[in-house]
Amino acid sequence: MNTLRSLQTHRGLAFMAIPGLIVFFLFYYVPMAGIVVAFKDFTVREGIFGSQWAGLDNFRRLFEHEGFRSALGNTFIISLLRLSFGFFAPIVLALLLNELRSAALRRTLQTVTYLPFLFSWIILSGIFLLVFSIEGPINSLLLHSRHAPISFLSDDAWFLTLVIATGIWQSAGYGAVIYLAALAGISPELYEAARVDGANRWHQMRHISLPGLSPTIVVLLILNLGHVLNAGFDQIYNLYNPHVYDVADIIDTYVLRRVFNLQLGLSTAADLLKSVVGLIFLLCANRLARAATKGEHGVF
Amino acid sequence: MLTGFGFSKFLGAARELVFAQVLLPFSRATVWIIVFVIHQPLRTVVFAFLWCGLIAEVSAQKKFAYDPLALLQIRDDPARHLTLRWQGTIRAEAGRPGSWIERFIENRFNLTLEPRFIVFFSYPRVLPLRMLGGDIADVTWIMARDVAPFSRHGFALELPWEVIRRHAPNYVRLLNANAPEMWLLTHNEGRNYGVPLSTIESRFPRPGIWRMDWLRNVGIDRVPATLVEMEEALRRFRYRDPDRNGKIDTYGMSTWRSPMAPDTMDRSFEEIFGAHGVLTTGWMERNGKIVWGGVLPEAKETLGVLQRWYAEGLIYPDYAVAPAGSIDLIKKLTSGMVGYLSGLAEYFSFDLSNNQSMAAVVASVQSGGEIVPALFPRGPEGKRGGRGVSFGESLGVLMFGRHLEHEPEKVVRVLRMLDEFAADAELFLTVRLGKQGHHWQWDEAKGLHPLPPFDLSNNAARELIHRTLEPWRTWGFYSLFGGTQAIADLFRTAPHRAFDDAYRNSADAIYDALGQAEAVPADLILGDLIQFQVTTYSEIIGGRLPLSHFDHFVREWHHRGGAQLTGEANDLFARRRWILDRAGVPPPVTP
Amino acid sequence: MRSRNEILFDYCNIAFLTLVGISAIYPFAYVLTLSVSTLADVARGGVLIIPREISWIAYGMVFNDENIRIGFANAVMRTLLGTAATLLMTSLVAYPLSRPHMPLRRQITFYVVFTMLFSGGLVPRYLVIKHLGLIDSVWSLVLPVMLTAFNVIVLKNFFQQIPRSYEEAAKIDGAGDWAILFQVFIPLSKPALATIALWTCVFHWNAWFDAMLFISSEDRQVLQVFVQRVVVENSVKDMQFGVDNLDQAKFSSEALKAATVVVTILPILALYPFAQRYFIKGITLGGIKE
Repeated sequence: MNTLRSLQTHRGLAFMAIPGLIVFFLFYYVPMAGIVVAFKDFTVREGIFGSQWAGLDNFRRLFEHEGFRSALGNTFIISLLRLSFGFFAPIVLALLLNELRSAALRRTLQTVTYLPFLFSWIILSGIFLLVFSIEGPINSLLLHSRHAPISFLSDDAWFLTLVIATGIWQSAGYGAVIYLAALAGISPELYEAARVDGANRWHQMRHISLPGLSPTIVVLLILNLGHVLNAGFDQIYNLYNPHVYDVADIIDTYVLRRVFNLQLGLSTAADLLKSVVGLIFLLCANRLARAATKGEHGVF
Repeated sequence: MLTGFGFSKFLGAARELVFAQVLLPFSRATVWIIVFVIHQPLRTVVFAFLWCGLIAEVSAQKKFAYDPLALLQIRDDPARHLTLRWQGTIRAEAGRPGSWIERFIENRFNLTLEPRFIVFFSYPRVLPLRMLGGDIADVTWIMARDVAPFSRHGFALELPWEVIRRHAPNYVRLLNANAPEMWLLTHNEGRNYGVPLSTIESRFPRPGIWRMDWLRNVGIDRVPATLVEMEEALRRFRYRDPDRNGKIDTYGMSTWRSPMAPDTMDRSFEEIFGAHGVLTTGWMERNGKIVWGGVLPEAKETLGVLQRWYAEGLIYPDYAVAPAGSIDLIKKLTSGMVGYLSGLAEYFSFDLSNNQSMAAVVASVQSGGEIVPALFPRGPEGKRGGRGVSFGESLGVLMFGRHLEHEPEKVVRVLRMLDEFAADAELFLTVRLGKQGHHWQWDEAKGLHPLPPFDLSNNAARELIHRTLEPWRTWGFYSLFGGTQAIADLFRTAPHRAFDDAYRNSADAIYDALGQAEAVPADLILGDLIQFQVTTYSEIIGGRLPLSHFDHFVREWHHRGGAQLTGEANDLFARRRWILDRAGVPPPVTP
Repeated sequence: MRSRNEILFDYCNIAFLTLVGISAIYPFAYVLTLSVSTLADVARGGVLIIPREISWIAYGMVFNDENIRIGFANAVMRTLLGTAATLLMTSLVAYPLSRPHMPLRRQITFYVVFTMLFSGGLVPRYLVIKHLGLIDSVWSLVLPVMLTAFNVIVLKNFFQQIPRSYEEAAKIDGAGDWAILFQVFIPLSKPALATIALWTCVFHWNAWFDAMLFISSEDRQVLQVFVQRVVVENSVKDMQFGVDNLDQAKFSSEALKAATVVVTILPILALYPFAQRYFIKGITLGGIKE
C-alpha cells in the first residue's frame, strides 16, 4: 500500500526519525499507559498489574478530601489572578519600552528586566525568602517608617500577593521581549500615515500598536488558558510553608505530597484529572480563539 | 542501563497479557483502542507490542513464599562473612564510610559494612523516594510513622516478635523493662515489622530558656514560675526595651518546630499547653478512653491565651514560617530578637566552658548576656509540664529490607549484634563512642568526654560519634539502644544530673498514651489532620480566626477522619495487651 | 514637535521604567550584600544595600562544602550531556518532519504535538524511569527531557524555511538524507540551534525536580537540590561540618544562604552578557504561530 511503498522509498528519512520517535514513545506515551494506577489501589509490592482494582475509589477519596478540593480551588484562583495581572504586565511594559526615544536605554532595560527569567525558582525563592522575612530589608523599611512589620510569608493574602508579584517580576521582561518583537514587525509606514493624519502617540498606540499585537496576544492568551491548571509549581513549592497551605496549595504540590506519603494511586488520579481538564480547556480556548478571530488565528 | 529489555521476556509478557489479562476491562479497552481506533496496522502492532511488553515487564513479580517464622530455625554462623548495607540513624548526617567504629564492628562480627547516610532535613522526602526507586538498604532506620506505608508497599520485612526474642533476648529484655510502648510502633495489622528502639534518658521534658539579663533589665529578678508571671515578663520584653537599645524592636518569645516533619508542631508552645495539662499532637487518656489532645477543651483554653499574647506582640510574628530547627531558633535568642525560647533547655546550653554553647554565644554577642533555664509555668489549675519524649520524638524503628527474605542469615546476624550491644556495656560504649582512651575518656569530673581531635564537631561526625555525646543520643549509628540506666548515667556528669533533676524532672513529663502520635497507622490521614490543626492553630493564634472557631475546627477535625482515627487509636489501645504479650512484656502488677 | 504632554509622559516613562529596572536588580544586589554580612548586622535588619562589615565566612563555608562541589560538577555534566543530546535528537526528528515527502508525516506530527497537551503524570513517569533502570543515573536527567515537542516544532519550522535550492543542490551532488542534514541544514541553522542550545542549557542548570525524584545517592545529586536544602529548607547544619571553630558570633545562616545563591547564579550571570542577544533573538524564532 501507499504508506509501505513510501516508507520503502524514503527509508533514510524514516530511519532517521525512529530513535527520536522511540524516545517520544518511551517517555511520553508509555507513561500514559501508567494512568491505570489511578484506578487501582497501587502498592509497589504488587506492581501495576498485581494491584487491586479500585475503580473510581481514588477519585471519590480525592473529592472527599478537603485538602484536594482546596488545592483545586487554589489552582484556579491563582491562575486567574496571574492571568488578570500577569498577562497584561508584559504588554504594558513592552508598549512603554517601545515609547522610549533612546534605543540604548531601551536595550539596557530590556536586558535588565529579562534577567530574572533565567534563574530557577529555588534561587529566586531563596532570594525572596530573605528579602521578605521579618529581618529583611522590606520589613526594615517598614520599621523605619513606624509601621508594624508584616509577615509576608505567613499571611494568606500577602503571600498570594507575593506569589503574583514575584511571578510578574520574573516573567514580565521575557514577555515584553516577545511583544517588542511583534511591535517591531509593524510597518513604520502605518505610524507615518497616522502621524500625517494628526494622530498623537496615544492614538497611535491604541489604533496601530495594539491591533498589531493582537494576534500575538490572542495566541499567548490561548496558551495561558490551556495551562490554567499549572499555577506555578516551582515557585509555590519553594516559597510556601504550612501557614499558607490553605491558599497556596495547588494541585501539583498536592500530588507531590501524596507521592511522599506513598499514596500513589491518589496522586495519579489527581494528575489525571489535571491533564484531562487541561486538555479540555486548551481545546475550548482554541475554538474560542478561532471564533473570535474568524478562523484566522489559532494554535491548531 | 536498559535492563528490562530481554526479548524473550517480551514474548512471554505479551502472551501473559493477551491470554491472562485481556479479560480485564481496562486492558481490553486499551487494546481495542490501539488496534481499531488508530487504523494503521503497522504502527499499531509495534505500539501494542512494545506497550504490552513494558506493562507486563513492569508488573512481573517473582512469587516467593516467605515464612517469617522460619527465622526461628536459623542459627547464626559467625564464620560466615556477610556484607551489610546499613542506613543507620539519620542524625549522622556528616558521617563518612571507613570510620574506626565501622572497622571495629566489621572485625568483631565478620562483616563488610556499607554505610549509607541520609540528610536529616530531607528524610521525609528522600527516603520514600529511595524506597520507591528500589534503593533499599539491608538495614534501615526509619521513623515510626513510616512503618505502616513501608510494610504495605512491601519495603519492610516482616519480623515476628518471637524471632526478635529468640535472637536478641537481652535487647528485648532491656527494651521491655524501659520502653515497652515502642512495640506499638512496629506493629501493623497484626504483624511486626521491625525492631523498636528507645533510650532511657530522654524521658525528661525540656523547659524553655530565659534571657536573665533582660529579666533584670525590666525589673524581674527571678525566673517566672506561673503563666501569669510569664505573661508579665513577656509583656515587659516587648515594651520596656530590655536590650536597652532605645528601640521597641524586641519580642517576647518564640517556639520550636520540628524540622523533621514540617507538618507537625508537636513541641510548639508545649509548656503553655502543658500548663493546661494537654499535649496537642498526641493521644491522651481521659476516663479510660483515648482522645486526641489537640481537640480537647484545654487546648482551646491555651489557644485563647496564645491568641491574646500574639495580639499584644508577645510572640514573634514569623514564629512558624522558617522550618525552625534549633539553630535558627537559638539565633533569635542570641541575636536579641526574643527573650524566651520554649522547649530547648539542656545542660549543654548553659555550659560556659564550651564556647559553642548557647550561653557562651549570648555572652559574646551581647555584653552581660546571660541565659537561664525556665521553669515549667504553672497554669490556672496548677498544672504544669512538657512533653515527655521517652518513646518517640525522632527516635524510630530498625527495619530490614524485604529482599532479606532471601538472605535470612543477615537478619539473624544483625539481631545477634544488637543483642551483644545490649548485653555488654563495654562493647556498647565502644560501638557508640569509639575506642576508650583514643576517641573518648571517662572520669569523675568531666564524665564522658571526647578526646582531641574528636572534640571538634566534624571530626567526631566523620567517625559517627555524635559530637557532644548528648545523653539522649546514647544510640549511635550502628547501635540502637541506650543500654542500661547505668550507662545512660555515664553520659552525664554530676552537675549534669543535678541540672536534669532540677529542671528536667520526669515528674513534669506529659506522655502520649500510646507512646507516639504515629502509633496509629493512619494512612497519613494523621499527617493531613495535623497539618489542618497546625494551620488552624496558627490562624487562631495569629488572630485571623476567632477563638470560637475552635469548636468548628473540632467538628471538622472529626469529620475529616479524626473520628475514624480516634476509633483506631482506641482499638490499638485495646489491642495493646495482645501485642505486649507477644513481645514478652509481662502485664503490670496491680498492687 | 513633541507637545508638552508628550514630554511629560516621556519623562515619567523614563522614571517609571528606571524604577522597574532597579527593582529587577535590587534583589540580586541585596543578596550579594547579605552574603558578606555578619550576624549582628543581619539580625537587626540593618542590611539594606551596603554592608557595614564584610565577612567572608559564608563563602568559605560554601566553597568548602563537599556537596556544593559535587553538585556543581554534576550540574555541569548534565548540562553538557543534556544539551548535546537535545541538539542531536531534535535535529534527527525535526528534519524528517520538515520534509513534505516524509511518510506518515502528518500523523507523526500530530502525535508529537499531542505530547504537549496531555501527560501521564508524576507516578507513571517515575515508574517508567524506574523500570528502565535509570534511577540514580545522570541519564534519567538527560533522556526523558531531551526531546520536547516545542523544540521539535521550532526546528522543524526553521528547516522548512530553508530554501529548497540548498537541498536540491545537495541531492544533485549525490548526498543522502543524513549528509544533507548534517552538512547542509545544520550549518544553515546555527541561529535556531544556538537558541535551542541556550534554552536547554539554562533549563538543565536550573532543573531540580527531576533530580530530586530520580537521583538517590548524594554523590550524583545536582547543585540545585543541594541549594534547595540550604536556602529553602533551611538545612544549614550540613555546611557547618566543613568548618572547625565556627565563629558563632559572626556567622549568620542568612549570609550562608545568600552566599550559596550567589555562587549558584554566577555561571549564568557570567555568561549572560555574551549570550544575551541569542536569548532575545531566540524568542522570535520560536514562532508563536504554528
